[in-house]
Amino acid sequence: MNKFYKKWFFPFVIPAIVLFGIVVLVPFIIGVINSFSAWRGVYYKGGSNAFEAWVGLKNYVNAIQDEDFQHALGYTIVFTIVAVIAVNIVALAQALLINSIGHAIGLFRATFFLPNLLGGLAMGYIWLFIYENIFSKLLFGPDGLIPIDLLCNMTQDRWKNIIAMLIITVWQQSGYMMLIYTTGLANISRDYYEAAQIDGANAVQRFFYVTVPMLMPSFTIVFFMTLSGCFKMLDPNVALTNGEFDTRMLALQVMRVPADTSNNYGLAQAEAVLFFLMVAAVSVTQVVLTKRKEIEA
Amino acid sequence: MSISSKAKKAIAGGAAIACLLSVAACSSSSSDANSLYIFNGKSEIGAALEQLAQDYQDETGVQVKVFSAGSGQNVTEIMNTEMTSQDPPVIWATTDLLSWGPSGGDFIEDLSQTQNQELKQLLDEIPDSARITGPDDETFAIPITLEGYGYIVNTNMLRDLFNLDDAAQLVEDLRKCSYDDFRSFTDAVDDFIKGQSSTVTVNGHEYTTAAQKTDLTGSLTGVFVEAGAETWTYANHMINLPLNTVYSTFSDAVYGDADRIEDAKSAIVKEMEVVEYNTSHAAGEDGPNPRGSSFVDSTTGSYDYSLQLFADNKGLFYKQGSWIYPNLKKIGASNLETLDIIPIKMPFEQSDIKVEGRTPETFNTTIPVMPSYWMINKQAGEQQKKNAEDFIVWLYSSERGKQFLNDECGFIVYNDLDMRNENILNDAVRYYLDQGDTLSNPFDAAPGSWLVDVGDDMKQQYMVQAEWDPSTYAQFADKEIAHWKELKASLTGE
Repeated sequence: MNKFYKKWFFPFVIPAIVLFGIVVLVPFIIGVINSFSAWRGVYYKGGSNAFEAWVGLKNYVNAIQDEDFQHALGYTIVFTIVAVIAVNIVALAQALLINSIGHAIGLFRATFFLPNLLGGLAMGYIWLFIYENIFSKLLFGPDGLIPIDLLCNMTQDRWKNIIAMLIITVWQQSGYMMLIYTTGLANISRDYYEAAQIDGANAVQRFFYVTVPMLMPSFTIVFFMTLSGCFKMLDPNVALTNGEFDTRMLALQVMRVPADTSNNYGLAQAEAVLFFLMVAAVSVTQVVLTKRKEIEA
Repeated sequence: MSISSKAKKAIAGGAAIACLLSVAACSSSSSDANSLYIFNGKSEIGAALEQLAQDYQDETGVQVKVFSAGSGQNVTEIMNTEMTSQDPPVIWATTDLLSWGPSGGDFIEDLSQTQNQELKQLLDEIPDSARITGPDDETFAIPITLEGYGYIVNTNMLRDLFNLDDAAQLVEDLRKCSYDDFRSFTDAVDDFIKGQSSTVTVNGHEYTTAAQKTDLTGSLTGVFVEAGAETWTYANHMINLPLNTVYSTFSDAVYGDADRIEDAKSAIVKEMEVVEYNTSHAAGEDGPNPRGSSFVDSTTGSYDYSLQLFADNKGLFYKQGSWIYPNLKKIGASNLETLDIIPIKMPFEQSDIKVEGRTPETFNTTIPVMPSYWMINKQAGEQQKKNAEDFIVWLYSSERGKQFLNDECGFIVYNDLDMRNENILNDAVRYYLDQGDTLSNPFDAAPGSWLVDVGDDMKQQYMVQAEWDPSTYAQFADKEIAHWKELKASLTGE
């Protein structure tokens, strides 16, 4: 078997590597170079190439000093923290529920997973309609069934919009994460639970001392996916507010820099590189930390 | 079953080459001298332009490629990509003269240097207000249409409101009247909607609102139709009027001293007073549309919704441009035959206006008229540039070209204002062009995100508020003025 893999490794891997190099790696390297230049998208200001229009760290300094960038960063961090916690709690709860009922597991899995199939922008616009018409007028508006100001006009307030995006993110991502957790739960031997039960552990203790440690590999994957996914979130942000009411997240901020600055793509590229470094640093740190907690079954 | 090492190598090599070829194929192109590439930013004329290109190709043998951006697509992003391709557009357009003009990438051909005498003549015929000039008096563009905006009004509604046989005199008075007269007039209409009759003097003539509502006037729920979710409807178009007090033209705003914006402060404050009045008299589906959360939400504050409100005669005035005619037609508006445009009246005094020759009367008797235009890519090959010039001349001189501009696109042909098409709002624009100088479009020269930021500020600070505090207008003006200067400085400096 090992010989078989060795034989076929390169024929299968090379096309992927070549494609990755062409559409990801090379543009990334060019992008990093451009972030140090006065690149205007279609030309270099002050030269005919990036090196002649070199501005050193100026774009990075401007990016860090850019108030919009700082606002977007703070907003993204707050959203990511809240969303990662919420998605994980809901996904794990769904997984435990499905794992415990034992009936119609396929149906429940499919139902929870379904929102994940919807495209980001389309889903954002559907939810915008729900927030503006169902939430703000029918359900929680001043004349609605249960007047709750916090759930009204959520897309017209910087902090309420976090709740709006949170509902969408949890609704969409929890089903996918639930699948990873159910697979993790299925791999935990019943023997551990029986042994714990014999030792007198109650349900809560069994959860924290058996389920959680044994689920650490799943936590590593789910935390990585939710953390990087929330940090990079763009579509619902565009659909719900398009950055109005001071609600720009980092991805939207980077995307809007050329329009904000009349094509200062050098600055946009610098913000994109900073964005990449932040996502990478946070994700790698998280993976390293949770990996350490993983135990061998 | 095993595969020989040669076969494996062949598969691997083939796969890699296939990948490379598939990617390389995306970027392969040829710059044929006997071709012309038109980048069209107006999605609504895409199909007609394709047909025109085919006809031109059949007639002259020049291969014409047309790219039309889709409705709602970000044209700038696509244009950036196309302009860096191996076969870039030769005919194109931008409003960002600083980035694309001589001080930036230098992509805009100075048309005044052309050797083509027919093109020279076409350039001579461009009205001053529609001329896109460079810092050294270059001529950067040729208009393909002229568009104007103001308060669109259904004249049959005016007739019924004041129980007139014919609204022509009232329309003429509304075109010429002062800001105070117009305000008295809109107050009278507001009273009528609330069930009270009153008499008002407009431009020296008295008008009394009808005692009874007709089917038409009974549908009114407000004086103005507003689209609260669309910031461009109250940011771009409204703030363009104060900008016209300090910048005479689009090019003046691009290349003029950025500090001149400071003189627009008092005009911006007065513009806010007008916006406050208009948005506090907005029409809704079943009654007034008060400012607040639902005023700016994407369902009841959208452009499409406002279009429908006006088509249903819910409001008397709709601040929009001549370009909306096809959209009104598409939704089956019944008032298409009787539309006109009234200037957006402003309470400016002479001290607010710094542009020589403009007076408060200028602002209250004419409308902003601006061109949609085409440019020629300076960095295209000489033969391709010649092809572009020949095509433009053919467009304006041949029957087929004129048919395209006038009949198929519904454009105003700038050098032949007598040409008529079904867009009745074009007649209104022609009226103001015939009267003399019109206002211009300095707002199109706004740096970076300025217009978006102004719109966001207006929406967040004002449109969601039922009551506005007039004492904040000056602070608002100061903020936007400082932002204009800051963005301009970041554009000109490195």
